[in-house]
Amino acid sequence: MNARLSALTLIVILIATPAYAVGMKEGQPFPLFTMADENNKMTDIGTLIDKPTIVYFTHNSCHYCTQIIVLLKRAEVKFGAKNIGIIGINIMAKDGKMVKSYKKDMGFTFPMFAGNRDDVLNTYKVNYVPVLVFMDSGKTVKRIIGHYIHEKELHGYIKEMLK
Amino acid sequence: MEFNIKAVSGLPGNMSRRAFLAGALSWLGYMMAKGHAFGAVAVPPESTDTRLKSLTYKIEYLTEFYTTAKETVKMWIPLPTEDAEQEITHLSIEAMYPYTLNRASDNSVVYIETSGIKKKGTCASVRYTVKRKAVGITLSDDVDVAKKYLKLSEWEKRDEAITKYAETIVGGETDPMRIGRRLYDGIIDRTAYVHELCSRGVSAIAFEDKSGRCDDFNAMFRTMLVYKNIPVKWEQGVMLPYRPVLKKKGTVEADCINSHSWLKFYAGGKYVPVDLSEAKRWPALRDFCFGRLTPNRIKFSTGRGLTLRPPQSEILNTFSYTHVEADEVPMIYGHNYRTFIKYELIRKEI
Repeated sequence: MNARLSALTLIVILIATPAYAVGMKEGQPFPLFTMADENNKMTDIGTLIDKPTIVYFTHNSCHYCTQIIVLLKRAEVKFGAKNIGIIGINIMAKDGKMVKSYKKDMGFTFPMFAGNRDDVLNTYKVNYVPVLVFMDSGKTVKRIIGHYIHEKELHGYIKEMLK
Repeated sequence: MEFNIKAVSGLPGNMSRRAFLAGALSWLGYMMAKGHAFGAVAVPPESTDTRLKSLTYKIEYLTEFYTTAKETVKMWIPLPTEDAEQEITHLSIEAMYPYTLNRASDNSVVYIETSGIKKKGTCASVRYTVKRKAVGITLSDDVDVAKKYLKLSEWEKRDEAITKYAETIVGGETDPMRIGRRLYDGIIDRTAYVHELCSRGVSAIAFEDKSGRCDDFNAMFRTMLVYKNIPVKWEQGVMLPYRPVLKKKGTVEADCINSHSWLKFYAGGKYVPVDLSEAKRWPALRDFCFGRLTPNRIKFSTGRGLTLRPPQSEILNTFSYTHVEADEVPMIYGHNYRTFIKYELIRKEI
């Protein structure tokens, strides 16, 4: 138990790195797009942001991103899908096929969209993954995390967002 | 066969606490081995690293599956480049499925195509001995070959900010070697190194962010030099530990974080190797990394925007670890499969 706590404590220290996502700024509106979901249905993601929401940028080559998917799944259960929204954007996916495969493999139900488009990539300017963007229901960016995150830290941000 | 990395299998998806802890410790070990635990420069390379003439390793490159698959699975496993800087001997391959060896001058692969992954565990093991030499400036009078390195990839974006910066730094300098050094110093000075992220290596974003990993440093350098009409060759591989933390035997994960790139720019009949991100990470190596490369690396590919043999579903940004597709959709690294390099240092030449 002590070894486990020590390891987790070390991880908390290790994740204390700055965020990088210059296309989105805290206090500013979150750029909205109409994007393809896993069935290639085009959806305006703005219509999904009706409550405090986390937008998660990832892609298929990112090992640590898969761990964050696990944390997001658990957070959705803990805080309730009625209270927080989660939206994934796969910046490797050009259409719904990869999104569908990713959702099936990772076993989550929250929406994910194909984000490998010039307009999307140029606007969000996501050069790294993982990137987590927390926003209020007014679609204003509250916080951007551009690195791996520990579950306790994630829950702390969600609680802050729900206040 | 024994694989001590099995302890971290099954991490994502239905991750248990035990698996999470194993993964966390593995990650911690990796971070410490890379020399940046707690955000500090923990173990700088000793000056002996710059005096090494070559390192010879026995390598076992493992592609491991953590899930099964029913779809048609295609797999491209990188083979190390064979050239004057890197000698490969004793190549042998063990695979659970039939494979072909698709050699090319730049990007050679072991290719596997199978109707499903029926069993979790090691799918392919590629063994070889690699003698990696320290690299310096090399002579070449073939300007036509060099010219092909004037083409930017889709990730090397040249915008107004980048060109303006390059003009400011370069000024009236016309000598390619001195232009290279000015931009090398300029990029290293203005860019923070980030560790634990998978980067796309987009020059315009990295320039605006003033941060990046190896691919970002190199994308910026390449974008600026090509703008000044200087050819720049992109090389990609995996970095192995420096001597202070190098064990006789060890395992390095060949993933997007451990992947490493470096460049060679063409300056008046000479190819000049540069390793900007290593110069950033290890300030004592700054002068060394302009014109030389330490031998603790393996080169797997050349260029960006790659199409392999046979072609994969869409072009790859870079190629230094196994690419896998199921029904022509890239599988998820870390969830479906992972790749590891087990090394044994068998000779060092000083």
